Amino acid sequence: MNTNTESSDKTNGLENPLITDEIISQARAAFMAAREIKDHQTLFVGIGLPCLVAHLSQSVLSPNCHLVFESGLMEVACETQPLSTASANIAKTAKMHGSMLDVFSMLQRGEIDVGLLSAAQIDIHGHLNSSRLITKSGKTLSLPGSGGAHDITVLANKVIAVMPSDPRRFVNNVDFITSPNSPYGNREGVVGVAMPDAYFSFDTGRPILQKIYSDRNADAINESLNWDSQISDSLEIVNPPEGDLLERAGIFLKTS
Amino acid sequence: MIDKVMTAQQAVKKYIHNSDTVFIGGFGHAIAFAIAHEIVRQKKHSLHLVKTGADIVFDLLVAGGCANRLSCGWYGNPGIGMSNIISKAVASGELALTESTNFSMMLRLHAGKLGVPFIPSPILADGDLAGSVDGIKTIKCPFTQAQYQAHSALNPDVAIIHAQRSDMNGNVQLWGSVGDTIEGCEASQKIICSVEEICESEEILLSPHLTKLPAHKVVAVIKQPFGAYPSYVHDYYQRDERYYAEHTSNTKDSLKSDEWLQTSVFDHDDFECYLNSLPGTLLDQLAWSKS
Repeated sequence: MNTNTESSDKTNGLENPLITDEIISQARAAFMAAREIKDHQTLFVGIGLPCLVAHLSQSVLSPNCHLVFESGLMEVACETQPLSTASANIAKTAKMHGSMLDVFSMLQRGEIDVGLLSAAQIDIHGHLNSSRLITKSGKTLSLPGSGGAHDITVLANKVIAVMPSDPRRFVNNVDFITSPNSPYGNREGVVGVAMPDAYFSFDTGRPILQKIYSDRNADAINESLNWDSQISDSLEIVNPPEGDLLERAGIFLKTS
Repeated sequence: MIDKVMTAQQAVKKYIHNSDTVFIGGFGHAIAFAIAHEIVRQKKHSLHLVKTGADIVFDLLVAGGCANRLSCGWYGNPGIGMSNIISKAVASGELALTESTNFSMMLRLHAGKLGVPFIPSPILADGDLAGSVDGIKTIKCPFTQAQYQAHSALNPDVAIIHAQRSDMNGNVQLWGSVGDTIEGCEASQKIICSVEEICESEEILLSPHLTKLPAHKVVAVIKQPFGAYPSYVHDYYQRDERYYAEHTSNTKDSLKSDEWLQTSVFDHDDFECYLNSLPGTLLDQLAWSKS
């Protein structure tokens, strides 16, 4: 078991040794995204951080949301972290076992309210990269690829990205556009990105720091990332998740 | 009624030919590992592998030198990392990789299943994947004049899959998370299926709604309990999480990959021998639990 508990006291006053820095960081990013979801919405959930967003939404913030995974699992109760979209833990809590074609068809018909995605990089246009990275020395580093990410980005009514707090992931132009922020028809595309410190929107075609946790400084966060973003005139201050939300995130992440 | 029951050795020898296009069944669940082992053991080569998300069974086939082409939407070790074997084979030129998206692969298999040349969709119109995928071309809707991408039909020569059960005639029953398996099978010319159990046709008649594949396309039924190990089979056994967790480091370089291939495939006469070589109580520990 991970015993890295150093800053849990500083960040939120909790004394639970199971709530590690890593859990707090993931919970903060996921909570920022989950706040954007409305109750009764249908969510298409990617693997990784998006699953924690789905869990916090379903168990606390939006208890009537519907969860869909690309494997074809629908009406899932996302109680423990799945490693893949077809993992047994979510297959056992799914009320419908459909096919991959069923759920991508729903997506294409416009029945998915929100796609939840993570990626290796996001840029100021809201494009996402999950295909390859170019290192400083010019070497290409291959990544697993789109999977359903391209399809979700183009076809969901809106997409919320959720990313760890790594400045290298926030760039002016991604190394490879796997998932272009060019939504089909009148869909909204990538509307924002949540991370452990803040939430940026793309309403104006550029990242605007729209929401920030009360224990963070907007100027410092805005300057810490590798992209040209600006701070909203109507910046919203958000209290970071604590207590029950952190406990839930801790249990969720530890029982994969 | 024709008895299609045979060994994996017989099925692979008879129905998989070098240069075939092969769909590999199982998306996270019920992955056709036993048949894939046999393809490697028989040193089939120049196969074109087709899949939405290519799981670690593709590492086995690529490391075994069986494939020279892979068309997929994703490849790697789900939730864990990259495929070192596929990245390396692509970099060296041994494997031609066509990367698209999971939905595009699904549409192409669905077009194959429907028996039509293509299906239109708005995906792959923009971004760096657009234009790079063979088999996708821009078309105009004849009704609205709007632009779409035509995703051309894929009809693999053969699909290899694993399922819960079948009768000897190939009425295959599959349940749980089906992913892309049914589309892939219906698009293919023929289906080779391994199953946990072979049952009487009378039993199939008690639950015909679970029969997911048409028997006329099933050419071989292989009885192989734990034939999807190390993946899972709904209602039968859990995934071997440790195997997946260690896989990426077990295949991190050529030396390790060769060793992995040797100890999992070439050291054994068949999949049953491989299963017998696993630590004593491992398979018992993987017993399915409802919760």
